[in-house]
Parts: sequence; C-alpha cells; structure tokens
Amino acid sequence: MSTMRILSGLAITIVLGARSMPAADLDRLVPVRWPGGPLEVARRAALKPVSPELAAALRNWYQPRSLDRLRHTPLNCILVTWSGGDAAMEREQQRILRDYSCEAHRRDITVMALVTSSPTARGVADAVAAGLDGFVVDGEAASADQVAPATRPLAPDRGRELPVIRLSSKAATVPGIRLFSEDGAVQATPTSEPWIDSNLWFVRFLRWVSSQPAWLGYSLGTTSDHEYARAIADAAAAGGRWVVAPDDTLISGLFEGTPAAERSWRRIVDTLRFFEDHSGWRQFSPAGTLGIVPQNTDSGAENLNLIARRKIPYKLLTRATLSGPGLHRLNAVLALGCVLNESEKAALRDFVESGGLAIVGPAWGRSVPPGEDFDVRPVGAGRVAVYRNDEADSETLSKDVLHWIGRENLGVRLFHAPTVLPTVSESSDGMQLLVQMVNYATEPAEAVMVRLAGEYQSARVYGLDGPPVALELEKSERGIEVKVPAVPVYAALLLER
Amino acid sequence: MCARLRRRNRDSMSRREWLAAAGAGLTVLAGSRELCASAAPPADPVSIGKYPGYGKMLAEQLAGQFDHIGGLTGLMRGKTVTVKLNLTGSGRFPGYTEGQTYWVHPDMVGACCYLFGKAGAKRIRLVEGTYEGETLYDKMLDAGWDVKAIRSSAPVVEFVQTSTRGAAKRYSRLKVPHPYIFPAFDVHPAYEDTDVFVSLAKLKEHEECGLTLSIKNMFGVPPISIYGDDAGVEEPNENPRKAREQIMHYGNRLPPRSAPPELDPKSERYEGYRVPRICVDVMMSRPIDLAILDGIETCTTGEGPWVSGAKHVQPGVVVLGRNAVTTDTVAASVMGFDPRAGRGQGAFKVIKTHAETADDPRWADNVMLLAESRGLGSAVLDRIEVRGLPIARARFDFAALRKTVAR
Repeated sequence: MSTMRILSGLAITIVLGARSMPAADLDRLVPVRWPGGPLEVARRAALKPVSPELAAALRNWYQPRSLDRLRHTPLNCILVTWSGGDAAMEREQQRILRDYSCEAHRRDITVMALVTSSPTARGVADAVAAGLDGFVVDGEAASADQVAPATRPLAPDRGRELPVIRLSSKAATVPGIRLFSEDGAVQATPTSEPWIDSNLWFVRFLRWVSSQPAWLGYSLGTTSDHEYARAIADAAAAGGRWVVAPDDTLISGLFEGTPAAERSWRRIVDTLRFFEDHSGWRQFSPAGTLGIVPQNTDSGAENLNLIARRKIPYKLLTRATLSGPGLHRLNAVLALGCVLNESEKAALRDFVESGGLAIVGPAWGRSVPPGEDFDVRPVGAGRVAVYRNDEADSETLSKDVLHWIGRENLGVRLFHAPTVLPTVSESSDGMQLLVQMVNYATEPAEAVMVRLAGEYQSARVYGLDGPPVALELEKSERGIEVKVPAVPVYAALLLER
Repeated sequence: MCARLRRRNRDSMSRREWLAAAGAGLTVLAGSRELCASAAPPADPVSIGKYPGYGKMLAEQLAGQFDHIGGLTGLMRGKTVTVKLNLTGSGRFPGYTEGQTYWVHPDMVGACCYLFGKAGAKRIRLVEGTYEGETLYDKMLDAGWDVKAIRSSAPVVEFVQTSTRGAAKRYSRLKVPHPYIFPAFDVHPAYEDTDVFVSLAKLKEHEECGLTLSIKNMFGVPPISIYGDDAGVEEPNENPRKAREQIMHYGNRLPPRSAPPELDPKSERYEGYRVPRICVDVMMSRPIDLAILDGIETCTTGEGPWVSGAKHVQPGVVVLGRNAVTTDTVAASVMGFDPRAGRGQGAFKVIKTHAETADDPRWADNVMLLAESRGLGSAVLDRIEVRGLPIARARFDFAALRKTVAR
C-alpha cells in the first residue's frame, strides 16, 4: 500500500470551463467506461493485436445506437476516448465525439473525456468546444492539482465549472480472494483466515476525507457476471462507485447483440439499479464501537484495511471529534500516529477513565518496556495501550485491537462468513441499522449468522435478486441473532429498532 | 540441542524414563525401537464401520458400532460425560467445510451426543481449546454448525472452552503416573470433574507427529493460558493468544511457576520426540474411556489446510473403542500404516516441506508404542479383536497417498 493509494482517489477538482456542473451533481453520476473511435482502435493495436470483431465494434462505437444501451439504465455518465495518438487522428476522434456528445446530452447523459495525463489548456478548450462535460484522468501521470493552473486562464470570466475527476485505477484493488498454493488451498495457518482483497475500507476513507463522490477506476482481469456484480457491490456497499468497465468480449458482444453479452449487460444494469434504488443508504452514517483517527501514511492505510478485514465495525474520527462529545457510544479509540494536544489528551483520558480503551503511539508520553511492542495499562475504569512505534505492524495491530475490544463487544458480528466483509451503518435517527455484506468468494456464503447488540423489532434482507425478505430475529444470551440464508455476492440486512 | 545429546536421546531412553518404565514393570529395549510392548497391556476390541457419508443415518450406524464394544449404557448411565473434540485451527480447503476435512464433523458430534444422552448420560460437556477468548459455542457457529441442534440432541449439552480457566475458580492438577516429560498438568476442571472421558478425534495425518488420532487429540487438553507461548512467568495468562509451541513443542521455556515444570529441561527438545510423549503424559493424567475416530471424510498429508499438499479425502470409516491405544492402532492400520513402525519409519517419517538435516530431523516417535510401553494398551494388531468391518475391507491407503506428495 502506498501513500499515493490514499491520495490519488481524493483528487476530484473543479476547474473552470464551459458547462455547469455543480459539485453536488457529481454524486448522481453513474459512470461507465465507453471506449471507442479510431483513437481507441489505434491505441489498442499498438499494445496487442485487436480482433476484427473488437476493432469493428470500437471503430463504430460512437454512433447513436450505442447510447441505446444506456436507455432505462442507471448509467448516466460515459467516459469517452478523447486524446492520444497522432494529431490528425485526434482531430477526427474529437470531430466524431462532437456529434456523439450532442446526442448524449439530448438523452441527458454526461460525457467526460477519459485521459491518461493532465489535460492541457488546448485540450480543455477542445473539450469545451466539443461540448464535453469534464475530464476523468486515469493513471498516475497527473493530479488534479497540476491540472487546474493550466486550465483556469481559459475561461475565468465564465464563472462556470468543468470537473476533473482523477480515478483511483491503480490505488484500488480488484476485489476477490487471493489464493496462494498450487492446489488452490487458501494460504492459512491454524489461526488465520483467507486473504480478501476489498475496497470497502478505501471507499469509506475517500468519502470521509472528501465530500466528493468516490469512484474506483480499475478494470477487471478475467470477468464473469459475478465479478462485475462484486466490483459494483464492493464500492457501493461503502457508498462509492466502481466505474463500470466492460471488457473486450462484452464490448464486441454488445455491438453484435450476442445473447451472452445481453445477459451480462442486464446483470450489470440490475446490480447498478439495486444500489440506485437504495441510494438513501449512502446517507447512513458508519456505526461501530471503534473510532479511528486515520493517518495518511502507508501504515495508516493498511491499518484501516486490516481492521476492516477483521470485521471490526469502526467509525472514522476527525481530530476535532476527540475533544468533543463524539466519543460516546465508542468502546475504543485508535489514535496511533497522532501528536495529541493537551485538550485532545484530556478528552481521551476522560474517555479512558470512564471505561474506554485508547490505543496511542509514543507521543502519549509513556514508555514501553524494553522488548515489548506495546504496553497496556489500566487507567481508571479503562485502559491505555501505548505502542512503541507509530508505524506498528498492521497485521499485529489489527489482531491486538480485536483482542482488546473482544469479539463479544463488536456490536455486530458475522458467523460462518470467512469470505464476507461487512459495512455497518445507521440512519440519522438511529432507528435503522444496516449491515451490508459483500462476499468475495466465487461460491455463495450460506447460512451466515449475524449477531447484534441492542434491541430490534424486525429484520429484512435485501439481495441483488428478488424482493426483500423478512427474517426472524432470535434472542440468545449473547444478543440478537439473525440467520441470513445466503450471501451470493451481496446482501444487506436492514434492522428496525 | 547439541548433536551429542540428540544422539543420546535417539539411541536410548533417558535414565529417568527407563526407571519410570521399569518401575511400572515394563520391558524396555534400547535402539531406534526404544520401546516395545509390555507383557500384557489391555487389548480391548475395536469396531470399524463403513459410512457412505454424514447425515441422518449416522446415529443408527454408530449405535451398532457402540454395541460392538459392549454398548454405551453401562458406561454412560447417570454420568457426566466429557467429550474432547478435535477442532484445531481455522481456514478452509476450498469447497469443503472444516468438518469434512480436519475437524470432527458436526453430524458426528450431534450423533454421539444423541447416543450418549439416549444411553443415560446425565450431562454431556463438549470441550476444546479456542484462541482469542472465543467461546466454543461461537467457534462452532463460525464454522456453520447447527449448534442449537447439537445442544438439543441430549438433555444437557454444555460447551466449554478449555484454553483458560474460564468461569472456573481454579485449575485442576492432574498427575501423570509414569511421566515422560511432565509429572502433572494444570488443566480446566472440566477434565477432572467428569465420570467418563471421550476423545472424539479426526482420523488424519499430522505434519510433525505423523498421525492425529485419539491420543494426539490430547495435546489440546493443557490450556494455552499455562502452556501457550504467552503464558505468564509466574502465573497463568487468562488472556492468552498464542499456541503451545515454545513450552510444549520445543521446550524452549517452562510453564508458569504456578504449574508443575517438566521433569528434565535438559532432555531432547525436538518436537518429534516431545509431542508424542506429552500426548501420552496427558492421556495418563486424564485417561480416555472411549476413543472415536471420524474418518468418514477427512484430509490427507497433513492435519489442516495450512499444511502444503494437504487435501480432502473420503475414506468413509469410523473407528472406535474403549481403549485409545488399540483404537489408534487399528486406525493406523486402516490408514495403510504399520502401527508398530519405529521412529522415522512409515507414518512417523513425518511430513515437512524442507529436507531433513541433523539439526532439523524429520522423524517422530510412535505415540502408540510410547503409550503401550506405559501399559495403557496394546499396539499389537494381532492381539486386538476387530469387530464390524475387517481392516482389509476398510483400508484407505493414506500411506500411498503420502508418497505421491513431492516433498
């Protein structure tokens, strides 16, 4: 994990341009990569041979009929091939796109230029001229900060905005389970669980650090209907969006109208529609008994990743929260790497005195015994765990945190779900608790038991297929238990207090 | 461990061991087969059953097998029965549950509880160690077990994790009559406060010890609060997180001073020497009244998915008996291994991913011979009456499968 991974997804910047795009409107965009035109064919041919079918599909993609694919779907933002290649070809590409974007606008579809480096002043001017709605920068080459100075002088008097969104293609990970051994056995030890690649933590972090929508821009390697659905759910369960990236087979198939492509496309659209139908869930607030003050460092990122992997529901806290009332309802606060000021320290001490657990770094001011990585001591009714190093090993730290909090105190716990990761959130009035579950395995997770602290009146499970189903709540000595029959790729458990 | 000391231990028993064995009236021979059969250790009968799979018919078939060894009623009526399960580790073989591969299967646990209850058991306690403060109930739930069904399979079924003292006020100290390594163990009182003790294990191999059967299952009895790597120096650590490596496998440190230390901290430290002996020590401290081996589905070439090359197999057998040594002996033969193989031979040329070196050998001692030498039961196949299915018809050749795994 590199620091760039965290930073890169944040770079959504508004630059001045021709079409108005209020920042709030970005949130309603449901994006899809929409490659095509002579530039795309040339770009791909330079990398590897392109089949005649794919070449034909790409070359003719920017005809109105491809926009028919978007009719009656949630997809309303296309990322088109815009620049690169020789000048003549680029001019031809942009000429084609002028007509195409006009038709798209007529259908209320936003058109963004997908570029691999910072748009130049000339590039912005061309995009404005072609009626495009903004740029999406895909790759490591540019940050939005570099984009802005070059483009601002173009239209300072217009007072209107052109968004530049930087995708986190390399920062995000293709979701799934990583296998290690030759015979397919999950790498494990007597006490370990399968290694899950997930973006849930990353999207949550992006949303916490910025009010802009979080878009993940990676492409899938091998694709199946399940993998498309998982990629969509992996981002959406945390309130973000995966930029749908049809693979070559799907592009060719859609162009030719093959049954397999139609089926895949329907599945993608249905999955997207599910999340748009439940877009209100994006407004729910993360719930959890652990509060984390995130650090914008490699180890800070890995801490979030691995704590999420251990299924510890957590909230992200600002420094300001530490000295406010925001710590109530928390059992533990992780503030590793924070040089706390006196008022923050005092607030954390109060939290600990009243029974909380504070996990802090050396700046806390207490020494750690030689040979130990950390030192845990009781303070008042609670405990303070001081790590010797702010860059504590994330694997160990996440285990320590789980151990100290105790599985029975997580608030929400999943059983029989080694390949499932949850996000837990609640409605603003606190009357609804939402447990979204993404299954990263190729096989469905069956008979998943969810145990909850607190009192609930009813539970419904929502899946990508079929209507919601009411589930029985069962009281046990350890809490309320709900059995979710299956989590194929995704399921959401909505509980009403 | 210096080479000289290793040679000494490989070639002969320690004086203390010899005296202990001789004191028990046993005949002990030097050499690679350092232990041989005693004059007449018990040779209780063993039953073998063939099963197409788990499921509803399991209890009915198992009942027939229990009848082969004298039935359960006399053993169980009005008694507290403690069942040590074999639920080691976590992780999965892709496509299979833990119970299909390296844990005892929940259907087997449920069927046994049902039959024990039917035989009149007053209370059944399922016991096993867990990590990270997990309850046994939750560990089972996390593996997808229908724990409620198991709980209702007999009038009183309890789930007790024995990695720590738990809610108990004290540990129980169980003495070892003729110890190899430890003269006594401090354990969860569930192991003492019982009338009948059952070892319900998976029939499988083991990376370091060669075989996991009912005697090896006893390795999980000592609590990690005392015998785990993060046990306290003076007292048990009631919040333990680590396995039994340093104290039990390698003998690199002693248990807390509150617990009995091992007899000879200068004895062989190699795990292939220590672990089988410790298993026999535990078994002597807490004798097994009934041994049950679930080999309906299991894994080969290792004890779990963390062992390279391990894979699911379906031998379709259950081996059970009143004597753990005879039961394991028959089971080893069912698995295609010579139950009397000596150190480093047959099943006991153990499974490891690296080449054997002088400092890191690949042998283990035969736990059945070690138990036999303490008079716990016979490991002589010809002396054991096999009831139900003959060994030859039940055989599932783990030995041949092991040879196919490149190491």
